[in-house]
Amino acid sequence: MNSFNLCRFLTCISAVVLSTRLAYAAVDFEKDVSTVLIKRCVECHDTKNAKGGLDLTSLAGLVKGGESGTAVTPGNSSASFLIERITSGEMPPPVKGLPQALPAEEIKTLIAWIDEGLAWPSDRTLDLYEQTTDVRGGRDWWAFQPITNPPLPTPIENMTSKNAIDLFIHARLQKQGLTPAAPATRNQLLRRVYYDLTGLPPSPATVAAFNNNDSENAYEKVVDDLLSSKHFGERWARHWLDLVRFAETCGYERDQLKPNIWKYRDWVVAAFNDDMPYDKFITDQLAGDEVPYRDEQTLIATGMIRAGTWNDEPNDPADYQYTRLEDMVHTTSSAFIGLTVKCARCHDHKFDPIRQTDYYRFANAFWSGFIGQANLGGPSEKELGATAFGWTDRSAEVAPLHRLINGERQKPAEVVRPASLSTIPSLERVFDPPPENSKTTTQRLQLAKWITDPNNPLTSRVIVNRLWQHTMGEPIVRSPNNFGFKGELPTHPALLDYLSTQLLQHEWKLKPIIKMIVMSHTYRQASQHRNHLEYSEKDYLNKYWWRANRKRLDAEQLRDSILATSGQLNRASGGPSFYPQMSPEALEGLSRKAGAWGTSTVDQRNRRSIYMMTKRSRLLPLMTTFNFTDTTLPCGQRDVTTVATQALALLNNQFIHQQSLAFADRLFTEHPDDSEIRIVSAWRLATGREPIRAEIDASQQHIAEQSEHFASVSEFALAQSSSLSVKEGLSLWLDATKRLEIDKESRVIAWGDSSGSSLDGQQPIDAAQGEATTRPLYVPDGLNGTPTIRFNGSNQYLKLTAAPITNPHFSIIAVARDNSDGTSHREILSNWNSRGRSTNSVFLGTTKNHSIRFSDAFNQAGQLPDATMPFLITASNSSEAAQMFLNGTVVADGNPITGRVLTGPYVLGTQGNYNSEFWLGDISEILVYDRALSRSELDQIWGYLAQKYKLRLAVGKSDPHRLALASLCHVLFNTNEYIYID
Amino acid sequence: MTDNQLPTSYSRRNVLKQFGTGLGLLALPDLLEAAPGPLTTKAPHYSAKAKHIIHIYLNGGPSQVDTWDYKPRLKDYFGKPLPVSLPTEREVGVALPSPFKFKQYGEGGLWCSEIFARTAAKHADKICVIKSMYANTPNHEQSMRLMNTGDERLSRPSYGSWLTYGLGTENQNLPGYVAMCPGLPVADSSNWRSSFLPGIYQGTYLDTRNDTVEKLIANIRNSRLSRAQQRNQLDLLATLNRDHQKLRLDDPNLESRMQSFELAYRMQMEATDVFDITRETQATQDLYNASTVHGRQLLIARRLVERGVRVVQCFHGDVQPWDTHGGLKDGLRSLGAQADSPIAGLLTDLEQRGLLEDTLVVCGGEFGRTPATEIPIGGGIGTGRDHNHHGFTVWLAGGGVKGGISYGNTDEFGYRAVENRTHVHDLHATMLHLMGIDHTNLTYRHSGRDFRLTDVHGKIIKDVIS
Repeated sequence: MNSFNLCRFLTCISAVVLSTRLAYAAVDFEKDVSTVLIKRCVECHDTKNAKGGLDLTSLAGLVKGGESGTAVTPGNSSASFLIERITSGEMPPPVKGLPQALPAEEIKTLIAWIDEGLAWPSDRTLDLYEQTTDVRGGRDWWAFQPITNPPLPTPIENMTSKNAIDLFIHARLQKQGLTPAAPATRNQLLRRVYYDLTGLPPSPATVAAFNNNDSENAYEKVVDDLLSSKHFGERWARHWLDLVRFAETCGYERDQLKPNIWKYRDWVVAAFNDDMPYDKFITDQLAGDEVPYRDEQTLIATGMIRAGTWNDEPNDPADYQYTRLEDMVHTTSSAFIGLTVKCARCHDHKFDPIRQTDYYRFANAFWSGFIGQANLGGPSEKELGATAFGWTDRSAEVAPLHRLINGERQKPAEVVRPASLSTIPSLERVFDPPPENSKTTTQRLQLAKWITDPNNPLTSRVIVNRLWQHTMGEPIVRSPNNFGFKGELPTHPALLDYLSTQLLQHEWKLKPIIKMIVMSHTYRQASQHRNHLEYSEKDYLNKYWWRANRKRLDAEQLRDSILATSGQLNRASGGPSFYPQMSPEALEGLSRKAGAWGTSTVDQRNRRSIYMMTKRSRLLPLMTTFNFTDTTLPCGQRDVTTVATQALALLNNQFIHQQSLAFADRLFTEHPDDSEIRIVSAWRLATGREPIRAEIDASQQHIAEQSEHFASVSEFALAQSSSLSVKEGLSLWLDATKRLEIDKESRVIAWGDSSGSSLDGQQPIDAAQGEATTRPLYVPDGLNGTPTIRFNGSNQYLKLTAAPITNPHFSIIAVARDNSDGTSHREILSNWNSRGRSTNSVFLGTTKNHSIRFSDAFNQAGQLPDATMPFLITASNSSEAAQMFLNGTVVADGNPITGRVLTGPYVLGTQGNYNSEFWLGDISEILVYDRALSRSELDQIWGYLAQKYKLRLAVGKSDPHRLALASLCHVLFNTNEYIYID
Repeated sequence: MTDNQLPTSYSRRNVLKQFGTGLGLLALPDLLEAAPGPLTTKAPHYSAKAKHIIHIYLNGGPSQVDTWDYKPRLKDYFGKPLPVSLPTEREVGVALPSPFKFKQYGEGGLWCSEIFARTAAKHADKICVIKSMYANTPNHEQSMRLMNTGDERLSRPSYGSWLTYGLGTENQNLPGYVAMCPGLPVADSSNWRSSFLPGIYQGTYLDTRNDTVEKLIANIRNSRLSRAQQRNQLDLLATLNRDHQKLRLDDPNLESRMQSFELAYRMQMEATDVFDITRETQATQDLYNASTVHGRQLLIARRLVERGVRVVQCFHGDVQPWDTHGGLKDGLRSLGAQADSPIAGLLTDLEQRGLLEDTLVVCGGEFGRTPATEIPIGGGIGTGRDHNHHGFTVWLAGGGVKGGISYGNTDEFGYRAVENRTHVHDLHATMLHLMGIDHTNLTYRHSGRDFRLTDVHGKIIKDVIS
């Protein structure tokens, strides 16, 4: 359209408008005009960056016009450039190629407004953020409004529940023409509330007691017990750790351990268990170094600030400080107030009333801290004043923080003073400078005060929303970390406010709110509804809560449950984290710089998942497969996926095999004589209910079939044996009943090898001692009536004539007794010596408290249960694992021992220097295999040694019935009933 | 669509009806073939040549003006600002003519630079270069999601999930949809998620930094039970789960999880074979350059489609390797050295085996790059290009695609798609069409409404179809 036509066209429009104008009421500036201007114009034409020189936030700006001249002619819209630009479609400009033309109604409004004389109240200045439009949230956005104390809805007809939550929920259901589901069964309810409050299943005894308790407050009693259980904090702390992107290492290539950060995890657990008021909970984490009651615990709490990733070699360390700042702002703002403040680092927030200066106001809280590269990016323990991984300021001086244009360090703008966000004007405040004699800037303390101000509507809404989420399965605001414009609206705004009000009335204590929720009918209703199909057509996502949500166990609940069910769960609380067993495949690729994976005893490995080492570069695949949190960003809600790789993990992973066997062993131990009771008990333990007949029958049939399979496999069938049949790879076999050369004092001159092998063409390896004074003693009936060699623990030992081990994968098996008091290192077999072997030798021995060492790479390899008793010890190092067995049972499982020097000299009864760590006790037989042995081979060897030395091995280890029962247990672990909680 | 419009209905409710009862049969391996499952092959809406997709994903935003979109006019502006400037992620400066040599290839005379010289020299006449692609946003995360799921922001099923849902897959022992990457691309698993579609349609992700089957797929072997014993376990499991489900209708998660166990069981047989590229001759391994991760991925992709897997995506590398903000000349050269011969090898191999006819090969990234330099932080002229969603290139080959042609054009500098503008939705509509699926008719009812991959958008690009 050329300009002549355009003019004509506009004239036509104006004529039409003028002629119809009288039909409309006079235009109201506030109601009609300001909304259009804010929604369509002010984004670009504000005072700060008036595009084209035009400022449309005030009458003065409008009248002044822009670079293209006057914008409006009062009383004459057709002569107004503003209208011309709008009607031509030039303004607002197209976005992403899509025209943004104004709706005809809005154009009419503007035309009428101009024609009526441009009414604009004096002193009225428009602000882009003052109101919500269809493209962004303003300060009138629901989440920023004061919390109302909503009246309780009238109970609906026939309603029995008096719980306030139910009043809100049922009123909404009624409005939608829906009714709540019937109550869940007692079994379902108990299981549900156990998992939600503690992350663990109820024991069969608890189930029985609850079912037999008819009293009215039986359920309430359970709830109270669970809320006061130490397991409550262990469950709920995990939700919090997700929110503050907690892990115990720095991430990146070196992935250093953050020393003592586990204390923060313990602090969070304790805070939940003690029901620490939530305002204190926030304050301690943000400003535990600045609070008047500062102590070691509050300093530990500040670990939250530096629990994120940390790069030890950023491309540009100065830039990296701003990256860290963003991590801290993002974590604290999303966790505490549910806003995406970080989006305002480079520009004003695109969707929420958060200005770029707000980001820098908020970020100021952390800017005066130890944000540089020293000491893993924070204060040293000395600077902090506690043995903790926490945070504090460098001094009381507030370090100036510039707003950065486009977020770029090279483009600093003005210095921004520490202050609250401007989002909620009634709460807006500039933070005070630190008081005299302060050691810190107190900016974080003031930020905490602003966040925990009872009038701050975000803080309490955000946390009660999370409490609802972690009990009900979905939050009321279904974007728990974003209460802004791009988040979801609350499904039940009045209920959200009611719960927030209750939180404040309970002085920020969380347990009363959780109790209120789990006591409601809404929580206690069934997950299936009699009108299920019809209702789910109407409300598939169950936003109205016409039923309970069926929940899948998360990674921690699943692993902890399996351990609890198998009877292996170690319920010890707190302390440094354990290292779970990792497959060699999972460990491969771990950067050498990132350090070795640690080892923990079996007992430690059976602790709850919250105590598992979270090494960012090496998370346990079993956990990540089941949607463990991404530890680099705050996570308000985990994904729930269902993929075949999860099924593979639960079918084939070593952990599930081990726990299935342990579960079977538990059943055999508890019910040794009755196979049906074992099955019933398995069901009770796994499902929390009584099995029906058909289930028992199916289980029995499974056991019968599987044991037939197992029995047909000959390797499982053997028990005790009178001879050794596994000879392949046997490189050393010293047997005290054979080939001994002794002096006249019965001291061993030489102990000949019976293996018959000759590695690398050498002669059979013998053990010998030339020096008469250091020869161990031959005792003909010294060990359970059979011969043994006795070492005095101070100077006696035997030297091997050659190295029995040449292969990195090998097995050492010995029958021995430890007569020491268990106070120091003592060796059975060793090639350690001081010439460069301090970290790469092979040895097997005991140390303090009779715990077992199998080289220093696997130095916590179980413990002798009764030191004075003879024992059968087996140390095995394969490509998959290093394992320690005592009397036929695995006592420690570790990663393969690597990097060993395998050459001699090897010695028996001391370390390779011959000068220390002397064995005190007996060695009757020792076998070394220059390869890793299979379990069935070990079974054979153990059968032989157990019979010979009258040793009691763990009974029935290879029994087909045991393996078949384990197979049933395995199936029960995999059922949908096990993993989905009604 | 409504449930009665098509003989095969794909509504959630019907899927449950159809397959919920099939589980008992599934438990018996002999009847596997006969038993319908969620992955069972389903008839397309209309007959089509393509049955499989291999998507070579050059993640990070490969530069169109340095590869397939030859723009000699850039030289005229060397060192000077271009007359066109469009908003992208960062600030751009002067024109940056491509430092690479261009040549015309094949009968169709397709232009291509030395970066993909091998692919172009051997296969130009099979390739259809769409030069007029555009997306919405110059940011990786959003654009990755758009390219893979049709939506930048919301949780939506990936196109691979849609296709597996709509067509099933030809091999019940393998997932219908596999996504491979050495590491993880930007936006992680949201690139292959099934979102509200049943979980069985989610892409199975493999970290191809691993080179053995055991490492590629953790827990693929059972060290304690024989197959017969494991089958016994799964039969009991299926029985128990079925009883459990009887009282819990309308929970697709329960069904999906049951299916996931059956799939896992079957994968144990097949996966140990399919991912073992050492079973290929040395000549084939050399053809792909299979000692490199990129060659290995594409060779596995061929082995997967050969066995009937529906959709295979190969992401070039961890995060966003093609994101050449700086050092473009050396960076692109080395990326091309990694990608070019495996891609040429794949096309050769597919053709030799007669697989190219029914395999649609798609190659490209989430957006392109600016023809002008990106001004580096701190100033200067710049040695790389910024993100550019206004115009970029994706090429197609095989599977019913017209070869040796280019479709659409960017402006004379390669900035913005101007002729036959092709949005990502249009690409999706065309890909589905080539697979025999009408993109407007493949729907899934969720949360009270019917969803589809292209939402309300998408037009089929007829000119690229042979």
